[in-house]
Amino acid sequence: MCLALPALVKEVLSDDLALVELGGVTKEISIALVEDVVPGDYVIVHVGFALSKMDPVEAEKTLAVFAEMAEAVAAQ
Amino acid sequence: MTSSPAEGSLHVRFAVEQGRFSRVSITNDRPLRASAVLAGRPAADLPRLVSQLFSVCRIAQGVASLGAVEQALCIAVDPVQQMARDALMTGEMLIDHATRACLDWTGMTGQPPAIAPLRRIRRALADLPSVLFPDGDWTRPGGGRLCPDMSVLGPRLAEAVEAFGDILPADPGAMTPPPGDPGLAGCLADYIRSRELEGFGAFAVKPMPDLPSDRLMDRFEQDDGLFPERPDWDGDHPLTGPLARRWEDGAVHAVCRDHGAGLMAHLVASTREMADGLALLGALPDLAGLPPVEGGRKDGGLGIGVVEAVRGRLIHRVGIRDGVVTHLDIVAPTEWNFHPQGPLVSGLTGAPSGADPLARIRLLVSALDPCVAVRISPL
Repeated sequence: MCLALPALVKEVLSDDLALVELGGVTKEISIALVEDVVPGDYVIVHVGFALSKMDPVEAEKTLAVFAEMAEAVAAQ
Repeated sequence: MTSSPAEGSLHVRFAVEQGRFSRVSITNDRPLRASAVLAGRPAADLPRLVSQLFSVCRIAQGVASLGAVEQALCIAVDPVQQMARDALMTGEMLIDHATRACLDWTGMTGQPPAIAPLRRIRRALADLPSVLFPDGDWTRPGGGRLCPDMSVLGPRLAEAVEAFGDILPADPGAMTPPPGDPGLAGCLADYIRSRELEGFGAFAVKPMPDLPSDRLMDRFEQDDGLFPERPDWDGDHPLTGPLARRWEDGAVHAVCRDHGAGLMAHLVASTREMADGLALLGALPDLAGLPPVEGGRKDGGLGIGVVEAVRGRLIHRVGIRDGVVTHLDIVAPTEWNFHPQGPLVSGLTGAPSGADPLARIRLLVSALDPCVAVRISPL
């Protein structure tokens, strides 16, 4: 299953790069495939590329379910 | 390819003796039981939630979940709705193939990522759901309000077709990308030919057969619930994905006859699927259909949903009681192709390792297209 965490854009860098917070980890990704990304946006990241932007409210809901998932997996 | 913290990864380990891969093993730490957290939620919300959580192949996941919920609740869906769902999955399949071609194929052949065509393809096809279902309700069991805006769809498809020109062979009638073809498929084909790897990774392939719902239901009950983690079918470990789907295609058949079901056969199957997917969307009829079905004849039961996601057969089994999900099991294509005795291991074991074994493994891993990161290291 291709789980995809919403990543919070912390900083937009040059050359279509950005710093995002993904599951508590900050990483550099490419935002070349998505238009008009600004800090505070949520994006879906796959293989180091932002694939799409996500509505912030939906992103928060999705992150809450992911948090439950992480707890469930840890309990197994 | 790096993994997100929650999605896990595959680890392929190998040994080489006398110029051949003598041992190959795969471990899989993907959180395959994570879908358990969806228990307790309203069944009507399940397809939407699933499509949010598994958002890289969100449409296929959503449609598989819809099929399972609708079977469990005895909801009969208008065939036009089903056709619209198939169109959405075709759009997603095209985007995923394009993503692999523009990011993975280029990397393997030493080119920079092909951002421009991929961006155009995503812009043309990524919001197909809202073009067909303007209320955004395509994940509603029974169907959503289907009201396609054909004035938007036509130009979008035209842009997608043009952008795919950077990927597919210049001659649309070519059975395989001819030598020197400038498209990304042609570049990968030349790379494979130049290293005489056309048949690399071939094994005695069995393509995925039909999996009837009643037998799947039984299969889920066996093996103490291990089917989602290590699936087999009658003891076999069949291949799933584009090559399995295109098994009877003349071009694929010709490559398999000459070289076996190896790297070139995988490539040709993917390119044929892209060309056919574009043709299918281009021939889409007016999909304005009947009103969605309201509710089901039951409020509980077991249901199976099976779809062909881009990476292969995707199976959902859902249990519902009083309109609430009691459990959800998912068998994803990656678990078939990267099974410890499956196509990757069988294809590599005994194959010539060459001067750069890691590069060869990466080629076959990419051809089988896992949906998570893969680490490769010597045993």
